[in-house]
Amino acid sequence: MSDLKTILLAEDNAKDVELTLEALAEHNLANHVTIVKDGVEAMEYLRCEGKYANRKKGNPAVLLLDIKMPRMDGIEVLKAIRSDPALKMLSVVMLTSSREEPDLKKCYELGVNAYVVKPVDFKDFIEAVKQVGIFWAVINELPPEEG
Amino acid sequence: MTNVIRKQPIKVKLMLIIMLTSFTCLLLTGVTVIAYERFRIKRDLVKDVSALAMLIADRSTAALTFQDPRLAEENLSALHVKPAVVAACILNENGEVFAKYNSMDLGKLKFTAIGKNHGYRFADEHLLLYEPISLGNKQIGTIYIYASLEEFYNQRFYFMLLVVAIVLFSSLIALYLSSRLQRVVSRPLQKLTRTTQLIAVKKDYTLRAVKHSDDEIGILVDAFNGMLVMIEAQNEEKEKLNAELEERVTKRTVQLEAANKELEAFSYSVSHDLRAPLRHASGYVDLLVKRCQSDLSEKGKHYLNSIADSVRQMGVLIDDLLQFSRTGRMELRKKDTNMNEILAEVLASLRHDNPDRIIVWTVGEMPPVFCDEAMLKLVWVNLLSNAVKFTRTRKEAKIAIGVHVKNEEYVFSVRDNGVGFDMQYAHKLFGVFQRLHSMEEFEGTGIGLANVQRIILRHEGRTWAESELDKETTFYFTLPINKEVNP
Repeated sequence: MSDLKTILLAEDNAKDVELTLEALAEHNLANHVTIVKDGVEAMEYLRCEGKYANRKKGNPAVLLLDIKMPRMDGIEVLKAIRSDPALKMLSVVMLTSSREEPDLKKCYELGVNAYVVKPVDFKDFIEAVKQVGIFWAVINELPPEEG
Repeated sequence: MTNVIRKQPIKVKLMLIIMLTSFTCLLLTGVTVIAYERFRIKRDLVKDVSALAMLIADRSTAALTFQDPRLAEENLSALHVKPAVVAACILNENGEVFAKYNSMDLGKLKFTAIGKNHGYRFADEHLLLYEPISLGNKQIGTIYIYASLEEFYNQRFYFMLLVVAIVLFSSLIALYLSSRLQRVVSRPLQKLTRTTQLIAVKKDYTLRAVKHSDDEIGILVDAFNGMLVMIEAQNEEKEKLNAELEERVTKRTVQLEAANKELEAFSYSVSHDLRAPLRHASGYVDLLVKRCQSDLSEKGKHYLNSIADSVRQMGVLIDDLLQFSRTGRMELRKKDTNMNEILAEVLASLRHDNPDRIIVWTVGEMPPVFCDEAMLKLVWVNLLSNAVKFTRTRKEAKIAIGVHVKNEEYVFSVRDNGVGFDMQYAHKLFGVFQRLHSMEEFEGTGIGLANVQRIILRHEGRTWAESELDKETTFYFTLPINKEVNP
């Protein structure tokens, strides 16, 4: 496996975070995951602001984005990313609890890269997270770094 | 002719009537005057001539007695005062001509045949008058006077000319008067007509006709205005009702929209918030089994398996409920749909999912239907997978899919030889989460037929089922025949 890139996980629910990390751990991807608790934090991380002011520069390989989050929800984050010249090429995968037509439509209109519904069954969940993690963090080529 | 008159406006009709009436009267008057004039001239002529005759007769007694025709002729010559007298003669008592006046041939007159007493008659536009000449009581001769009516006829020509002139002149005056006076009748009518036309064109029922007279037209105007008042009142009432109705509809629509939004928000939160804890429960149970296997007794593992089962079941229920709510809310996307294609797809997937089953399928030819394809596919999936499921205990399952037309509807049917159900519970079949078999016998949440019913109802169709326990079950649904669909 070549060098692993960072995965940014935006998820407010601690249990979901834990289970997602468990799933990624099964494929040795957990060490490269940064966790933010909501949309505002996600944007701070991406723009290296607030408590992430001193982090190493560079965009993550992929943002796994929950839709329902406090303060700033996933769709607002997605909109902010796509309208920010420095972030617009970032790969964003919605990782959400349900498949709601309006959400699905809005996300694709805003230019989401993938929309994944978290299966209720944990075995299916592990499989889904694994595939997402491997594809975006390992297989997929990142866009060229700018500036 | 009547048609031409019928098409004329009242004004013309009135004038025609007046003219015809006055002309007829004038004509009759003229004829009467002419007739009377003729009578009067004749009477005067008779009177004058008979006076002359009597005078001459009286004078001629001596001439006859003394046989002196010259004297008689002298007497006769007095007749020249009356130019109308053309000829005259005196006959003696033997009927011979005694004396003559004017040279006309009197021979052709058969005086004797006329009579000897006094009298007169008209013939050939002439008057013949005779008067006896008497001496004492004895008639000694007769005087005959022949007078022409020519004067009268000459006068009559001018007279008639005068009458015609009067008639014409009077008619002209009548025309002038009638053309002015007819307005008394036609004006109010014209105005009323114009008002009605205006109302008809403008649809403005607040307009009123103006009353000009207290006659029948006035009554008509009053009645017309009365009707307008009524129409206006009714219109107002109607508008008020419409406005109220509209307001109510708007209010209901707002309420409905609010309810719909609430429902959407509800299902959204159900799908998000209820699924998350389930996922967590499933995850932790799985992790527990995986990570702490050595610490668990067999019983403990069984409990955990049961928890996992229930969680899975709950997940399916939530998914089914959400789908049920979607089939109710989603807009129908109706189009011409090839039922045969849908059925083929559904059958292929069912065969694929049940490779070990022996199923004899009988599929009839389906008509094209105007419907929401995705939803109708869901109907077939539910009905056919039910048929497959409930024939599981049969060595050889038989499933027949058919359609027939009844009462301008397509009636689709799915018949199977499965376990069936007791007809006394038939009313529960299509209810949400209603099941007629235990979970252990046949799995399922009981949402499938509820979905079928909801979709068919939204397509203005009906659903029902007939079953004979352990023998045969048939599910039916109807769809309206849409005439716009071309096969």
